[in-house]
Amino acid sequence: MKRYVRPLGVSLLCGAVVTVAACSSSTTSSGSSPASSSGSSSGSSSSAQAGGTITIDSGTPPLSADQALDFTTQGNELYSVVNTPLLTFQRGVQGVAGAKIIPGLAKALPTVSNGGKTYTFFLRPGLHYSNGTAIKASDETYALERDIKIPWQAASFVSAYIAGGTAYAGGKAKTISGITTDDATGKIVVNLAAPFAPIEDIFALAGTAPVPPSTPMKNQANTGTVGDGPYMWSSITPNQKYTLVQNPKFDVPGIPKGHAATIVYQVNANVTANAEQVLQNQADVFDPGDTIPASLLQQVQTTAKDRYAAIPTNSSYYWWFNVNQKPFNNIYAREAVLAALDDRALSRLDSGFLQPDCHLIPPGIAGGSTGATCPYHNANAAPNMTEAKTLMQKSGMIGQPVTVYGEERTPRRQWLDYYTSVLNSIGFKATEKVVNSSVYFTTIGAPSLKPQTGFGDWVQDFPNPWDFMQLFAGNAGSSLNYGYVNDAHYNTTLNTLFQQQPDQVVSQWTALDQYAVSKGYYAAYGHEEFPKFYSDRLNFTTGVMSTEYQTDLTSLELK
Amino acid sequence: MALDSPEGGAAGIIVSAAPSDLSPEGRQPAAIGPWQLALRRLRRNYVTLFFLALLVILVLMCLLAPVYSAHIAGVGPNTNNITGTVSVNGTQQNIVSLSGVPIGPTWGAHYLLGADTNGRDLAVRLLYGGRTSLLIGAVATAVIMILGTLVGLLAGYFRGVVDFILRPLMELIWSFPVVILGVALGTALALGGIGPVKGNSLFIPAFIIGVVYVPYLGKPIRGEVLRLREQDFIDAARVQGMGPWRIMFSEILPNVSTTIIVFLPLILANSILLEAYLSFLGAGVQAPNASWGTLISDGLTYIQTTPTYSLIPGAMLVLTVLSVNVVGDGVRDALDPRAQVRVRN
Repeated sequence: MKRYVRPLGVSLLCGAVVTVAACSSSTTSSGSSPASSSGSSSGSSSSAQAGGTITIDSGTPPLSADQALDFTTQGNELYSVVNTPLLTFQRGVQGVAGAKIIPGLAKALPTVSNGGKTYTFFLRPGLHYSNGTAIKASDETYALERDIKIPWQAASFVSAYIAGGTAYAGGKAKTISGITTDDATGKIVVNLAAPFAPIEDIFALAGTAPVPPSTPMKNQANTGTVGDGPYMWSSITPNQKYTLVQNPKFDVPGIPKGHAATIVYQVNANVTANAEQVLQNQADVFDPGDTIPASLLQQVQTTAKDRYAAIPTNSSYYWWFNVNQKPFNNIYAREAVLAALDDRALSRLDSGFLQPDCHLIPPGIAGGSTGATCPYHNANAAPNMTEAKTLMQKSGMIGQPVTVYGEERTPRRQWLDYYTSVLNSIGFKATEKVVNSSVYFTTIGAPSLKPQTGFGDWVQDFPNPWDFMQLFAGNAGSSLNYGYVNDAHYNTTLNTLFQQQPDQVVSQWTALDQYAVSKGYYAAYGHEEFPKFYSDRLNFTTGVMSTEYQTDLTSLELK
Repeated sequence: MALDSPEGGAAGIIVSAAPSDLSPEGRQPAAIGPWQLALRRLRRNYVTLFFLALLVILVLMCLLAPVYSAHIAGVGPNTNNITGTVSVNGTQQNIVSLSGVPIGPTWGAHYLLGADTNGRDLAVRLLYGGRTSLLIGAVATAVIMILGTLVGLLAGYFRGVVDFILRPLMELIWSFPVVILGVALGTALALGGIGPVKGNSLFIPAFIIGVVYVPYLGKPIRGEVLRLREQDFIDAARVQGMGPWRIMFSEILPNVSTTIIVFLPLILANSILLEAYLSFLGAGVQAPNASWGTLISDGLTYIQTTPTYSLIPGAMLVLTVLSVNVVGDGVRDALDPRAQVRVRN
């Protein structure tokens, strides 16, 4: 299953609308907690073979090889080994520990001052890009300006929070005034418009990695950009084939150099064929952004069980309700849906890759809960149809027509079929509206449409509960908050919590999530596992499914 | 084929009369009308009769889908039963496994042909899908018959400006590959619908098929009308003061009726096939409704493990289209004025 981030226009729209809460990617990134352990290091085994070529089969290409435009899971897998940012998420570690932020090109984590509004970084001395050019502090400013100008799909991360970002985006300033640099000392000072704890996470995204000032201020889809990562681009045939080779000049300590000499990422929309290729050892890695079809899964689980595992991710799947329109402006109608939904059924439709839960914050992130605390019924148990029908009677919405929006690709269309049947079973007159996956989020997010209910999903951009809870903020805009939820308590709590580090306010995040569930603002139904599926040629135990990078390319090695 | 005489008589056919056809006096053979003659020919075409019977059985099976659904299977065509179980050989089995694999054919009352990924009974959906396919085929055929005949009559009779407008329009539609045009229209209309008709309405694929096949009837009808309008009986009608509309519908239309009848099964078969193409490609019948095309498409994922998911709706489609075609050929042969028919003495 491929996960695209919200289209660029959406991010821009958010950037314009949002002042406090901004857009992040829609459905990107990865996430995982360990399959069996958290923190199993990916050191090389004694029999491992350095070098060689590893092939990844993917059903979906990245939007671009340029990290200043793309923000897809597919793209992030690739350019995150090319473009190292100031900070970075730890590599070579499977599970939650892999979401730990460590210094990348920066000497250390930033010092925070000015009441959480100023972040100061120092660049490591003597760093060079893969083409030999020295890295300067001012390159960071150029990279962020490039993010806004091209623009990056998550450009609002930069423009909405860094002082002067909005003015630069609007063409009212020649540079981002909130960033000052000193090439001589490598000092980079970032001033924020307001305290915003997730900013460290944002500086760990490859999209914010410095690039040489000679890099054109336009999308480099055919070549990618130059960076200081363990790999560098070799050849790119957009939408077909992306080849990476090891970077001999890589000089950042603390980041693995990778094992394979060459990594080939080839795209074939036939996901079943991709899975069969890996099963038959004709390709090495099945891209975890795709779902192994249920028809093939059994065979994979039996004949290739030593090279297959399902790895939990920090992702959430949910149905949203338009709280301003009939019938879901009625809280009982929303509650009835929550009582009637069988999260176990939705999991089976996803080949069993979904962990049932009614909460938005995944268990792998601070504030995450479990399905056992769901207010209407345990997410791992049968739905409460009696309660659902009682609530429907109370709501007076029986017989109300509902149009349900969903995507066409598997298993999302099957989810839509199921959800529609549930709505009909409790008394609504529900019909489906299936929208092409490539335009789904732009369609439902159009302010003129105001749909009644439909599918939504979110995959972690960084391990902060704000990344998920901002989806239902009153100022999030229709491109994120499809249900137009605007709850004063929710908004106030969110704006208070995002100023603090998540681990300091864990219980408050949990309470906020539970509050929204009890109000029926969303009917979340689970958190997905991604398949880790390799060929026999690869060392399966040392390969890492990372929370941030999905397949950690630096961990792949031939036996 | 149009008959030569304006009255629709079976001119030029030599028929040897059977004793029962003789008049009470036993001298003159009783007059046999062309329709009666065609029916006799049809009755003697056993291949056609076999496929006609098969077609009737298939249609009846599909029409009885609600009865099967309510009294045998016990579930509706869109009833999701993902976490349910079914008894197979005395053991309870998951309808959809924990890893999402649906149960295969049980060959019992419940889930006779197995379930799909949403736990829906495939046998029920097969029959309801057949209803949908036949309904769309029939409605589309009606649309083609009405529009094609009308366009052919107008363009052929009036000629001039009317023909100048209608003929290129038909050529334009004709020049597009049918499936590509159907997919383009289906994709566009599935989202927005047409006016008050919603995108998931069955009328949408029926309308699309109707539109793309209009020239296939309209052009030959136009040709026939161009020929007929120069005939003496039309001149006679004009002399009698008949208006153009009356001439078209009371004089010309009966004479192109055999052409329409011959085209009818051909167009019906093609409409059912095109519906299947469009639904297979996602541009026809929209979820959660089923048609044979969507069922074949849904079953493709399991073609290696449970090929019956695709093969059975495929076989239903093939048998239906084959039956319609064979019956159509039989009807055409029966209506052919040049056919030599020996009536037994």
